[in-house]
Amino acid sequence: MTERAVVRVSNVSKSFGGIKAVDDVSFEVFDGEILGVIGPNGCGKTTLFNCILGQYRPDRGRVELSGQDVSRWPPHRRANAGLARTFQLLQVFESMSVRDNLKTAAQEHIGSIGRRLFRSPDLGLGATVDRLIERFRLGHLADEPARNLSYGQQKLLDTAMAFVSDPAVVFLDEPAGGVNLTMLGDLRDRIQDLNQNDGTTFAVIEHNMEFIFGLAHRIVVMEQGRVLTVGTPDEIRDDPQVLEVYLGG
Amino acid sequence: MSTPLSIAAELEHRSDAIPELDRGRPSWPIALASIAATTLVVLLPIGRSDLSGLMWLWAMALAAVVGLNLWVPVESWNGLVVKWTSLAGAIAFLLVFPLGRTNATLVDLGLFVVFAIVCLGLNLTHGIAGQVSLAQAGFLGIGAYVSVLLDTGRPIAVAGIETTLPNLPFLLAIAVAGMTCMVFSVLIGFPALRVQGPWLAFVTLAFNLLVFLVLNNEAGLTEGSRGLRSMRTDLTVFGIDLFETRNYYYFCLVFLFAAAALVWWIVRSPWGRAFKALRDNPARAASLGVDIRAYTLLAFSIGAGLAGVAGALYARLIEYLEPRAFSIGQSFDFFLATVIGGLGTMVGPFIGVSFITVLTDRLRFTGDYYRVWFGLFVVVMTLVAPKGIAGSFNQLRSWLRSLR
Amino acid sequence: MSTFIQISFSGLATGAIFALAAVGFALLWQTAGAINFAHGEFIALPAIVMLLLGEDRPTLGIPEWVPGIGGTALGGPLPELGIVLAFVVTIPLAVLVLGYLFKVSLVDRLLTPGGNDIPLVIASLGLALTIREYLRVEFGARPEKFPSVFGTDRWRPGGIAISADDVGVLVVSILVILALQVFLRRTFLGRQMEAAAQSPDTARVLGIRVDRMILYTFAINAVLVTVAALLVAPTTHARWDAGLSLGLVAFTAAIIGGFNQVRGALFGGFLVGLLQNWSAYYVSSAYREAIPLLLLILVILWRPQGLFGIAEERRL
Repeated sequence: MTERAVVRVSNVSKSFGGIKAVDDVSFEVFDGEILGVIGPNGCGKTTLFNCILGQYRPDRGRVELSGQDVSRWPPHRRANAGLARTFQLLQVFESMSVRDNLKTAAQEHIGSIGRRLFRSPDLGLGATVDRLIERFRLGHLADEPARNLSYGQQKLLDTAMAFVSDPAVVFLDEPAGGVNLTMLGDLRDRIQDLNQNDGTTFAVIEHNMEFIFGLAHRIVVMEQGRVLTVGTPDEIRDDPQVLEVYLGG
Repeated sequence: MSTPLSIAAELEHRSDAIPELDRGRPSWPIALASIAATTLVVLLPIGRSDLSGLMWLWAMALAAVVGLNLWVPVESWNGLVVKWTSLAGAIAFLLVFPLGRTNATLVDLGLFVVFAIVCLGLNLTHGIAGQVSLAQAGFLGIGAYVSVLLDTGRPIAVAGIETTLPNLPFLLAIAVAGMTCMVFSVLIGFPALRVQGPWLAFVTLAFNLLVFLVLNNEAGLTEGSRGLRSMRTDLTVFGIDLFETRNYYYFCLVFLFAAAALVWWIVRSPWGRAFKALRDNPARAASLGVDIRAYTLLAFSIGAGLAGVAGALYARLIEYLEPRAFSIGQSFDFFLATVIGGLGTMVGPFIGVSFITVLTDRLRFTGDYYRVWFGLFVVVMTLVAPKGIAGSFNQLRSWLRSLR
Repeated sequence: MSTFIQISFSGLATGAIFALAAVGFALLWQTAGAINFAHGEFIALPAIVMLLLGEDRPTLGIPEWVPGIGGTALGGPLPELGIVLAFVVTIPLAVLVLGYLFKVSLVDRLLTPGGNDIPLVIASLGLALTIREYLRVEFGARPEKFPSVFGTDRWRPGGIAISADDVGVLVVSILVILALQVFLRRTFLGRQMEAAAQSPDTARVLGIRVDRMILYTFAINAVLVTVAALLVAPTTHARWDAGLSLGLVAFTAAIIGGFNQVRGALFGGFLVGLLQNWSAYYVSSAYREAIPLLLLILVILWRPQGLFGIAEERRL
């Protein structure tokens, strides 16, 4: 983990109607870290991610990836530049097999649209995809259509898809949501494995405090669209302001 | 430690490792049964216009082929045999059935082939990529008129301009027809790309209506509702006289096989996966790097191009081109036929097209109400079997597999 | 100039009918997310039904002594009354079939929250085909002359030719539209319906029976299409294929005006009516439908929420 900012968010604001969902938010994601993002319901975490990753256009502010201003880029372009994400609501490609899901997630980073048509159908991704399938323990389901998987398995697939293209930063939105205890441990192991062995940077929105506190190097606390404070898990745990935000004070 | 992507680069030129499947033991009875049944289906109708007594035998043979396809697991050796004999049988049927038929029947068969190309294209646009296009008949019309206009060197007058169009060789005219449609599709697809959802449906709807208006009113260009004479007395390609209906049928068949091969190849390629991602979950696809706009345009324009080529073929199959054949109602028909057949399957379009071509005669017992039943069938199908006929077939097959 | 006023007035009258059709279509889309491609057929069908009930048809077996309905020949003593009574009877029928039955048997089954709206598109296309072809087989032989409720008088105030039908159509449409607006804005039930349309989740939290509100919307739509049928049939004659063009106009008007605002759809309807008449006279009669269509494509390109609609950003 370094002190170099791989993603920099500067003064981002986003309103819907009269409601300020994200209000002048600035922070950095350091290369190689796992950054947690927490806050009470409705404080703007998902909206913030949507602004960073391109689903929403912020009203104001800038998003930079490794120094490059990506604020005006459509989502797929940001993805191809190294920003990957999962959504809060599980999203996989139901009609395709697990393997094809992963190939789809990986293929758009190889070559151009035109060239891709004329190479071999798998674009040499077979080994990569298989390795990821092994890492996420989905081997026995590799050729099943994604709709046949259980919720937890789909969740693992969804997360795996974010990694298959070797992204610089992965944004996870509530990865622990709806996942049972045994798989939760699995999930945490996968994330730590990728972070420590592959150097992948993470930004994770989470409600499950135990999960995120045991995983993150730093944590951003949000409240009503603004950043309340940033610190290590220990610092956050002891911060009276954070307590008040969660318990109402 | 090398990253997954660099390893992938190393392996790029090697073939992909497919885990060894247990394909089971080949079974001679199944192979023989498959070949026998398929042969019967292909050979029995030859030269006969009415099977009467042999009808039962033919129906049983067909049922046997269908049953084998349902029952035998696709991954096994037997499954491979069944699949390939069925495919060979289907091709043979299309090749052999026209022998000894009247010209009228050949024209009907030709229409089946041509409309199958249209529905193949629509299946790519909608069945695979999930984009609703209600303009296939419009593209069919553009292709038809463009190819006829370019092929006859006739003078045209539109918007005060009078020129004479060049006289292109037939094959070239077909290519131009297809490309013109692709260009138009990109032009009108573009507005719809800014938003997701039903907008392409509305834009294509409006486009088809506009096309019809132009075809109907610009008599200087298209002869309007009087009809444009499209039949030529000489139509020679590579030395073969295509004016003979039977030769023309085989000519169209070549295009059908080419179109089917093209669609099959695209669906199996990375484009196919991107299209399916676009259909299943566009937001997720975008977040994974899939360029939604580009792929929507691709799927739409390929479908349109195929309809354009089909239009060029269609024009020579009938004597006169009338705008009425390219109305919005016809677009609805193509769309519903593709849906009935089964979206996203290779077989689906062929099944669906039967409903709007060859079967309309066979089902005359319903009298004038045929299209009422057709519409009702669609409604009931969306409630009960939304995957269409071929899709339900696949579901049935999976279900049978799970019973084993 | 007088021609212009004449054409514009007539265009407004046509536009009023389009507005009614567009509002119904937009309401269903807005409240239930239901895009009904059979909307035009939903107008053509009541027209035929009213015609059947309003004139003597042996198959229906209505006894001759039933006033106004039985034994009335078109052009006979009381054709208007016959039609008016038929209209009154058709309204509850429409609400039952085009409202309740349609919702329960198709829309509810095919529209899953968070799911695709394509199955309903397909089903409504199939339904449109079914209705259209059935009408064609049963009644298609000749276009049925539909009597005008307002009579066939024509006047010339200040040299401008105006028909009683146009005036009647405008007056009735405006009354209906006003009644709808009053209902939606001023009555408790109406405001509940608006709330349910704007934000179903919030409405549920507030205790509003959203599903019931949606049902009422379907009922209102059924009434609107019946009124539209009554008003439009005299001009189009109760034709089996009138549904197709009416439906297309409804979509076009709703999208141009703004399908997520009632006044957007209203505006769209009047605009399309005017545009059609103007282009028919000043450009070319054959291309009268082209201008609205081009406008539709432009609107989708530049402002998909319509001229009066509110931009919606999908919450993810």
